[in-house]
Amino acid sequence: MTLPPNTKRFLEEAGAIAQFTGRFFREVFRPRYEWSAFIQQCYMIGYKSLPLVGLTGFIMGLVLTMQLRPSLIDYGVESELPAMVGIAIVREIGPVITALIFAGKIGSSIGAELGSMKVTEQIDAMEVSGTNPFKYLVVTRVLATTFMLPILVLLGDAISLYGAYLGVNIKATTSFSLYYTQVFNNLSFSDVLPAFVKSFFFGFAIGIIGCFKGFHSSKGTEGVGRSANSSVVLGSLMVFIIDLIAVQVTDILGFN
Amino acid sequence: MQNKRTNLIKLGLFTLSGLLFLVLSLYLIGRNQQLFRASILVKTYFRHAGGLVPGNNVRYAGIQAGTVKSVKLINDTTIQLELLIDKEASKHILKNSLASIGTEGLIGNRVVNLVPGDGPAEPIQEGDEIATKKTIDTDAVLETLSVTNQNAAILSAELVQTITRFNNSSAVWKLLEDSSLAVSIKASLSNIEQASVSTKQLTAELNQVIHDLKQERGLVQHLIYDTVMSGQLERTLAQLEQTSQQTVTMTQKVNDLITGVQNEIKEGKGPANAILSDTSMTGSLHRSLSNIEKSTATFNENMTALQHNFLFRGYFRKKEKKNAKEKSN
Repeated sequence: MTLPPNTKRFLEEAGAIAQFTGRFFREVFRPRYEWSAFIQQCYMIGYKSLPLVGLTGFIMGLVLTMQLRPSLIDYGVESELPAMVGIAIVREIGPVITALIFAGKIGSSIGAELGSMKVTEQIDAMEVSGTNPFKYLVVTRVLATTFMLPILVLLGDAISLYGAYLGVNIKATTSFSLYYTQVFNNLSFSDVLPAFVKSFFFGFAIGIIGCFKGFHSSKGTEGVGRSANSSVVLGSLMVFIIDLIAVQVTDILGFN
Repeated sequence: MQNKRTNLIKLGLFTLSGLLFLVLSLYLIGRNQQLFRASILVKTYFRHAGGLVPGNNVRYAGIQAGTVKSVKLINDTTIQLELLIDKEASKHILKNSLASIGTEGLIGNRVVNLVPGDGPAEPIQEGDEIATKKTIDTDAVLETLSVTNQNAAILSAELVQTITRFNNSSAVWKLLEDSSLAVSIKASLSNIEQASVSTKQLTAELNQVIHDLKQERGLVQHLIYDTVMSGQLERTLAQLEQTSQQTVTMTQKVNDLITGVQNEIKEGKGPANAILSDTSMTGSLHRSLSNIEKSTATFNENMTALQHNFLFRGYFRKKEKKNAKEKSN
């Protein structure tokens, strides 16, 4: 059976990513845990991303509120603005926007970092010196993205909700206490928990794709650039695909 | 090393604050769903849940008092609701409270409203059943409205018929267009007005008369208001009756007498007959009477002579004096 070259390349890559993911799961439970490298990666990936995520989240909350207000006024439910914005941010906007920003910042940096290590043969050198490069480079980064993104999403949500509060107060006066009562009165566990769970998958996908692209970077500086670029593109795409799957799964489980 | 430590602290702060926000939001949401509060379970039954779902609010007198735990169909017409009522609020909710299903605002979520019942009762307890109050069901309203519409359709059809007949009838139009009718109606009305004015006057006068009657002590007033007089009148009437009875008897007797006289006359007996029928007697009677007349005149003369007699003169003078004295007194 002959397949078109593009399809063949796509399937090859999908298989390679699957294999890479399988290797990750094999390595992650095997002893000799790289704790200090993991914490270092958490700091770099999580803490260092907070300003960016916070800023985008704040602007998103503010803008969303201002954009929604005219429509809600048309329907005569302006008072439901906090509830509406709260649900939108917590369920969808917060996780997805944060994951996209995260993919842009972290996906590219992982792809570039591992790619340059690959092309400068540092990874091969590490293997020679007896350190498991996969464990030291890939597992720590993927775990860090997996655990840090949900936390970034939570903080991003909080900042975003505060931005929305300011947005509500631009053309009306709502006390903060009434605002958060309205937001949390209209939220339920089925809004918060699926969003929280899916952000783990977003983080994992972004980490895995960044590492894969970097680890399998082609030779030369061009290869590094390409791997950085494609890890962002593919990571962002994966965020949307996982989001699509997540909404179906929560629907099947009856959380919607 | 120092730098690494600072990074570690920053990372810890970052992670903890994220998790804190998660926990806080879960707590806030959970508090709304009464997960972390002491509550009691009560049941209520409806025929129609009206879109109620678990998690909807329960309100007592408009205040959040709990949530709906479950909505179960227990048979073909009955829906069982399990309500989680706050322990704090349950102290004030009495067993005779009534439950009904309403909405938050016009288009908001469904809520179960509890309203106080009549009279005193114990506070509700775990497992109690709360009676329900039938609310206005939109479907029922629409059904009634449909009947009303049908009636309105029938009514309008008949109205059309009536109007058509009205339009076709020349008599009605003639009546409406007849100007003389209007004039005579006007005249009648003015007559009626005059009559009413006179009636008013009459009434006023009558009032005055009655008033006077009440006030003044006239005959009619006596007749109407004097009880003593009525007693007298009664007695008088009784006496009158007696008298009339006696009169009847007397008349009878007179009758008898006349009958007797008549009989005597017929039979030619007795003094009456003699007076009435005997002509000779009439002549002698006539003579006797003339003789008596003559003798009376003579007697008068004698008496006058006697007065002038000295024997009696003193007596008459005394009498005259006595009369004169009485008159002067």
